[in-house]
Amino acid sequence: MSGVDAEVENTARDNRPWLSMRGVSKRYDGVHAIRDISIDVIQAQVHGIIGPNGAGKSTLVKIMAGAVALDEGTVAIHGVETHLQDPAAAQRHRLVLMPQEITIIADASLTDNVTLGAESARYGIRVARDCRRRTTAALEAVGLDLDVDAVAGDLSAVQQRLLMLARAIDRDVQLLILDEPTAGLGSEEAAVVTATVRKLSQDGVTVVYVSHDLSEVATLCDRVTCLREGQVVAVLEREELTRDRLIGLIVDVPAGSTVSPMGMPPGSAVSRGVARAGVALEKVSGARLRDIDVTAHAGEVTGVTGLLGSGVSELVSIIIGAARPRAGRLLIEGRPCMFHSPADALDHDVAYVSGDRARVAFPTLTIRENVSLPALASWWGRFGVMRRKRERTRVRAYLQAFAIRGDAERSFSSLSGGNQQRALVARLMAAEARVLVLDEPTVGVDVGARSDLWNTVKGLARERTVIVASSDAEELVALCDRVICLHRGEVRAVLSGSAITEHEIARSVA
Amino acid sequence: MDPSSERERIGNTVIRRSTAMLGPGGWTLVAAFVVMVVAFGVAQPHTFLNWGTAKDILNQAAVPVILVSGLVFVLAVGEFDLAFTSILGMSSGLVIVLISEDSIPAGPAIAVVVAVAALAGLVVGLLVTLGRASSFIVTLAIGSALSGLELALTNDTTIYNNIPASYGALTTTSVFGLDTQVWFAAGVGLVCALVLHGSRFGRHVSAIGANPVAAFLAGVRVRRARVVCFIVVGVCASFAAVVFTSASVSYTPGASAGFLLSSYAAAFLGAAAGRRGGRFTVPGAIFGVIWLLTLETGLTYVNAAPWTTNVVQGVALATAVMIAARGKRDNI
Repeated sequence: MSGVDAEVENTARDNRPWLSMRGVSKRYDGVHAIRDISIDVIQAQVHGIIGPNGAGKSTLVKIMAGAVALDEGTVAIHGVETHLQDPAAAQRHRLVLMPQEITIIADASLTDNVTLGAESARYGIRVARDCRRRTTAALEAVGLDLDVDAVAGDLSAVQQRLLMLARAIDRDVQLLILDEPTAGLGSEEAAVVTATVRKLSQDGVTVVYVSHDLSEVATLCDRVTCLREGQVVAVLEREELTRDRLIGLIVDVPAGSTVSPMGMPPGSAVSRGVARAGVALEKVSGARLRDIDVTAHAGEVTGVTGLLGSGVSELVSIIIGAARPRAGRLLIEGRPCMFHSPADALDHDVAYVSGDRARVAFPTLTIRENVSLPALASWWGRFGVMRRKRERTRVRAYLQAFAIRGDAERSFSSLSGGNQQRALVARLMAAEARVLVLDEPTVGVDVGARSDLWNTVKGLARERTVIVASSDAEELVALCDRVICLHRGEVRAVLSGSAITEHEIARSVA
Repeated sequence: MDPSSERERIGNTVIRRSTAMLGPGGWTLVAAFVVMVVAFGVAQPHTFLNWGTAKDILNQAAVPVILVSGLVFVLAVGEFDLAFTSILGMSSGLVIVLISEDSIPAGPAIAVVVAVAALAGLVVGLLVTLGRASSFIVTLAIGSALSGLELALTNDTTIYNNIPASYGALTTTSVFGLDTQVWFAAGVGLVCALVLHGSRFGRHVSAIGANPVAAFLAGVRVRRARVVCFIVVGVCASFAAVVFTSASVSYTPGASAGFLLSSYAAAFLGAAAGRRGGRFTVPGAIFGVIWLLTLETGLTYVNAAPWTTNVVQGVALATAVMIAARGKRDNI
């Protein structure tokens, strides 16, 4: 190495990239998930990656970790171009991706969890003492003061996350990629995780930090790359990082301009002056929720939104009877209810459908059977004997209302994704319930069909209470009369009327 | 949608309509049935192809038809039951002991047996649902326990004394040319078919079998339906026990075990034959019973070695399972 080169390297040492990507693209079925991304992750920094849903964050970090092959571009580690064919190869380069899900073995000890797959061994026989010593060191590095022989399943959620970090530390990790490490944790617990990340970074570990929680990103990160639609739209340095700046980057619509694509403007029901309480939760606490009070009015579409793990899915589960609150009351049209199952909830006129079709659809049954299932109680004759003709006619009417043509006797799986979603909303209509709960109703539905579905849902709200849980701000703006924003188990804001904008929603959840 | 796929779809609809009950697997099975009847007929034209043989097959079918009519419920709800033949054996022993040793009239004896079998089904159902244990292992264990009870009741001996002839006449009286046991089996099959394919409960059962989580979220009482399915199979097994012991006017130890594999073979043959591959149906299972019995009877008429029956049943079950599974994969 010549003297000039050495000098250049010296001056650059302070922000030498541990990993750099140049012109990286990845397509799925011809559609770009990410396109021409270049990024430098500086040694010993915490590098935040933010962006709205579908921006390509997951694809990007999976490529970094070798879990997904890139189509174009190069990845260099310490300036040397490297091809990582799988996560094992990445680990040999001291690069670890920590997934969102907690992947510990609940029945095993902390030692077994930390040393899993890399146990100290002599002649193939495990050396327990050495495993314990390594575990003690790794737990200390992440600030966990626990017995190494304790059972991992007994740990709290935040301790389990830290245990996963300890496993990475044990492998002498140099680049740690964290995908939503604080999702589902309360504020204090999340602070424990971020403090640990900060400490690791001070110890010299380079961190890539993917998160939706923009306040967290603003306080923790040294540098932030913002993605949108698969491309880098901004790179911010430490001194530029404020929460409001980040929100502005996430929301592609400028603050103040409300989009109401179809039909009646939001807020119309409020102006009609009907404000009967359809569903109310009083001082409800649960696994995630903390003492919340919310009301969804009859004749309105009430949106519920929040980041992953903020309590939205628990709120939905409580209303539909799939989970019971630890404390507090649920009132349906003013009457206190205690649901033991979704069947109970349906008896009280609460019906549910989700965009997660694996959870709600019956792919091997026919379209007719999928649509009519929750309606059976009210449609069928005495003694539960089916009236086939009546069922067929009614199902056909509902399918026609959603412009689903063809034979209702086909298997449900023969429908396209968008049509499956419409058929499921048809099921919700067929249930003839007074309270309708829709969970991410337009996931995987194309743009035109989305507007149709939104209009249908608004129409349904005229005589009913409709609750829409969604992480899609555009959907909430187009659909809702009122939006309840949850943050770490608490209600952070209730938006209504003209206050419902993508910007305001992003501000309230992040 | 482009015109060619539209045309294809309409074409498929026409084909589906014209074959309301049968899928491709079904046509194969029907064709195989015809081939085997013709083959046995050619081999033994005087003995095989006559009304007596048909009646014989139908009489033999009575017990398995009643068994599979119940078994289909458990399979449709997505569980397994290895205990129903033990319920059959225990009920057979109990009804004969009550009649023969305790001299209880047939009516009350049958009522007791049906109630005990329903209770056994309830216990199995509760263990499977509340215990969240695998139905495979739970029913294997309960089956062993019930076989023990059967042994305790009967001391492992054949019982044929002191059984009134009227008990035998219950099933072997000829009505409209067929024995009452055939009519009774047909009745049980019909009721089971109506309940499974024509009632709200039946729809809930197939929904649970297709996706239990989705059924739960859609408002189906999943646990209750599962328990009821196990009760249904228990009650059907006790009906089968009454027919079984009445037709032979005796109790024979260990006679029930042979029904386990043949019932599964019949249920899976029926599922493989169905229009939507892999769905368990009562008519399909009954068709499976007749199919297997015709083959077995034919084999005895052509003096095939006794071991051929086992081989045939095993091959039929394996083939049927594969056809049914293929239908399911196509649907994913």
